[in-house]
Amino acid sequence: MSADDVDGSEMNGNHEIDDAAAEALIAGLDRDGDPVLSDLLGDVRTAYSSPAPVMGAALASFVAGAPSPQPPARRRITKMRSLLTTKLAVAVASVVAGSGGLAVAGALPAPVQSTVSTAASHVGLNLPGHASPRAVDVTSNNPASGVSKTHLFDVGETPTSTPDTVAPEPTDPPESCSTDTPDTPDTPTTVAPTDPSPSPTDPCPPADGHDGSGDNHSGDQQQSGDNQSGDQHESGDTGGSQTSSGGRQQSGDSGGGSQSGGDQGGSSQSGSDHGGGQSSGGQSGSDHGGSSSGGDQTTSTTVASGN
Amino acid sequence: MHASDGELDVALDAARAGDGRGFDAIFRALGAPVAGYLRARGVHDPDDVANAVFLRTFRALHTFQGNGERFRSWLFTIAHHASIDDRRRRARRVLETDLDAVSVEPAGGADEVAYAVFARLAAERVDALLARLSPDQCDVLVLRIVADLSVDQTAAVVGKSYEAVKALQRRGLAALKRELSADEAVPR
Repeated sequence: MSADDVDGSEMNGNHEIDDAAAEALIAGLDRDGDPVLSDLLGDVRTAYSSPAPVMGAALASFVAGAPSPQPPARRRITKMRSLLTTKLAVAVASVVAGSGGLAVAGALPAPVQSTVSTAASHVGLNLPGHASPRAVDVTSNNPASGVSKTHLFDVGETPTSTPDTVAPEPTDPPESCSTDTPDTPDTPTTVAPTDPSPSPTDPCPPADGHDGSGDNHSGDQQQSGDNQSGDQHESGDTGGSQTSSGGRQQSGDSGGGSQSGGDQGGSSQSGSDHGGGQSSGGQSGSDHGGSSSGGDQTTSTTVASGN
Repeated sequence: MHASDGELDVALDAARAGDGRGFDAIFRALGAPVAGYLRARGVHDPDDVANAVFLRTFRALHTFQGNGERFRSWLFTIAHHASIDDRRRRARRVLETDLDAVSVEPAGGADEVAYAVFARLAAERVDALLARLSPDQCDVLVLRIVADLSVDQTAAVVGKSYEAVKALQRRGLAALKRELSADEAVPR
């Protein structure tokens, strides 16, 4: 009971009604006690009494259909089950997709990466992994790797300006790469400046990482190399554009540096506009190759393996 | 006029079992008091809203647990909320009135017309008297008198305690008595 329930003028006069009298009035049994009030309550009852409303079409169809009350409960449980299953499937799919992308990029931790790579190799997928021989074989079969090697080494020479941005991927032990690639003596010399954190525990994931994309990479750069040898201006333009595409590939491969790859491509184009041809393309690629130097080094390793 | 709780229990069991006759029996038993309650609450189209109330109630019947007495409280709770929604809806939009429906056409003789006029005046008088009560007092008295609910059922509908409902109906009746005394004191 609150103060709002009390009318302000309630206490004026003797109009108090006790509970028994109220119940009798409401039930219509107290006509003798207060006939005026009793008549009024009768009027209230009459005024608002109405015949049963006509059943509408929606209600009539519901009553005619008369669905059992039980199925909705079962339906709800089934719906909840399917909803939970869907949520679980989406969660698993997102985890698989996310880890799969990292696995393709070679960005997973080394033990996980090697495990995933090994598992994927059983189903015919080449993922960067822990010294996956299959991936090295594929890259070594690349016929265009020889030309791109020199170009990429040029690219790799300049990134000394940005050694901090080198990803941990380029920390390949030369021995695992050198087993397949006779040119590896060149590779450390060019890669070394871009590799500030050499951890010999990583078995050259970039080489494997660019297993698939490295083909395109080296192929593009081989074309640029051809053009560069023919005409420096044209080759510079071509090389710039191709380097930019290569930069995009590198960004995709490196997993974490897509933006740097785009920047790399842009800078390489600008470099080619200067007519730098081979060197400009190389510089542009190498300037930003620090951020995605894994891609550069990967490509260079691929080149080495091809030779 | 109103169905007893025993009859309502039988109809409720049938409706729960999916028997359409159960739903129909419930509607026939409680349709009139629900529509009357909605009319007393000022709902513009009580029959239409009553249909909506029953449809909503029947669709949610699988969630209800209890006997006929509790079902009556539950049904009028839904009707109470529907009347509040109707009031809010009408406050937001302009109400269109069909002029054909308003025009008074005597359906019978003079006696019937006189009865209709007196009934109309009585209803207006009742409306005016109930409008002087507080909203809670009016709700309680209408639920008790028109919907024929018990104190417990009324308390469940308005969301108040048993004692609060008894106090509200006591004060509401006292206020009506006071208003009637004031009306009699005024020379006509």
